[in-house]
Amino acid sequence: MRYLELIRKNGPLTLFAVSGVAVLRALRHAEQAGLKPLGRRGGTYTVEINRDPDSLPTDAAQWPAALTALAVEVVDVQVDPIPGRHTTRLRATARDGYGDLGRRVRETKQILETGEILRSPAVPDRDATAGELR
Amino acid sequence: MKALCWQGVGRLAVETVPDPVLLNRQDALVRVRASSVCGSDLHLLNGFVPAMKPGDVIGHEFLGDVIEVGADVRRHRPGDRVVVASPLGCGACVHCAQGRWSLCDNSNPQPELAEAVFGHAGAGIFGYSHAFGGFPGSHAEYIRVPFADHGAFTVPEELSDEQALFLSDAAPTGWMAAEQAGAGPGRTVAVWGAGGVGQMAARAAQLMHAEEVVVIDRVPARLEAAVRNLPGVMTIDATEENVHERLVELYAGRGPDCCIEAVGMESDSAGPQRVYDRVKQRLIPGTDRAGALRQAVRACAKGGTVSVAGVFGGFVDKFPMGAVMNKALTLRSGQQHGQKYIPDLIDAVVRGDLDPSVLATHRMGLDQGPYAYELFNHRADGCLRAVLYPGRSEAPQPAP
Repeated sequence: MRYLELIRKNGPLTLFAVSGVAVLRALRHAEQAGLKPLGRRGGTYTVEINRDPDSLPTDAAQWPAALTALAVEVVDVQVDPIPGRHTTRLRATARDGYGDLGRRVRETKQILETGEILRSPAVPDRDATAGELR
Repeated sequence: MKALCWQGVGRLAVETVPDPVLLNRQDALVRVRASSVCGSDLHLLNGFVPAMKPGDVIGHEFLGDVIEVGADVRRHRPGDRVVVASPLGCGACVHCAQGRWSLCDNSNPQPELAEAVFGHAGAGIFGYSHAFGGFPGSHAEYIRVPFADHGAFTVPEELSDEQALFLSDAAPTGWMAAEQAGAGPGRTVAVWGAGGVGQMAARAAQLMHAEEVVVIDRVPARLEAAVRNLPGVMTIDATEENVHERLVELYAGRGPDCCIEAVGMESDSAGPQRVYDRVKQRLIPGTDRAGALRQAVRACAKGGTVSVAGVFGGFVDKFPMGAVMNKALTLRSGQQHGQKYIPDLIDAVVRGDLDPSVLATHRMGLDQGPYAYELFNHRADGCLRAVLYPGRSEAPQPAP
């Protein structure tokens, strides 16, 4: 299924509602990624991706696992061109109170823009050896 | 490795922490040559920036040598001496693409608190709390630099470490403040704060050919340093003169066209205002002391611009919005976009137009980090910037 062709023809598109094949692919993708079910907080999370819609993957299976896993959780994912900006709006809505949505949408954006998810390290263990400020 | 860590409000200690490792393909590992204290560190130290955890490594103004790079780093290799912008920028989001690097969408892996407080999260910043990504800072022997191709800049051989060091933060912060203020020919500029950022802003305004530049502070040693470092600059001692009246007098009743606030959330005041601000800030978390900002807005010429380089973290009471509206002022602000400014600033130092090394007043080893902040926090011994040298048992002394 060529999703972005549908975007151009039909406007906003519910990505994973349009194809059983896409959902199956998403399930497999999420399983491979080892993603856990979402938490309880839900709502809508929207980001702007600094890429022209034409440059984005046209096959759902090629989208980042962080996003395809959302399909498993019955989340509506919409991808729209932003008029005049040559960028893309990615909007995910959790219908039944699913959470952790923001992190997954942000990670999807990061992968599509930078190629990877930025990691921050844990706070180090401490072993004080010197004085204090007074 | 050794690192200077936040222990709690008002407490720092040198600790042994794990060496950093490459976590992303665009990372570089850097051996820190020099790392400076900065006024915004004091906000962390004094408990006015939330989301600090005991053990956090502080410091964000630094240069060092690249020792290892990730698979996707193209512009650097081991051995490069680099100065690194204090905010992290991915180079790919809409903000980075437009040169607004400190607004990067992708460099703060922990944006929830910032989104809750500010509406949106800005970029991650080295050593600047978990609200800004939780990245370990530069007061350490080694540091991991994400997005190294965008944030790290090779330093030309002819620049000394201290000439390059302050291109990491103080110089681009000052430059951006002057640019946003609209400093230029025929424009008068007033700078609140004669610390590192204030002096760099004043120098930037001079290099932008501002008509006149005046620097305001309450610490005589800092005003003396401004006169010494910035030939031609005027000064106002806020403890001796009424700043508003003096500015009105200087600029024929008009006031300065460009007002740069380089003080931030711990601004000092006089009289009852001083007592009020300090009590308020202690009793109500998230409230900033904004004496200099209020003064700048009130003094600014009609139709002028107030450029805020000082760091604010929460809420400001009694902000003179009426003056902003009825004098048609423009208000500009932001963390610095170092990735945009550093290449030009390197050129300015090479040409001899700018010498940020004048900010370095004290030099010491990493073990003396707590003492460095004690000096800096109390503005003692004329301390403008104390530079820590993690790799050296004895810090270099200033050139005679």
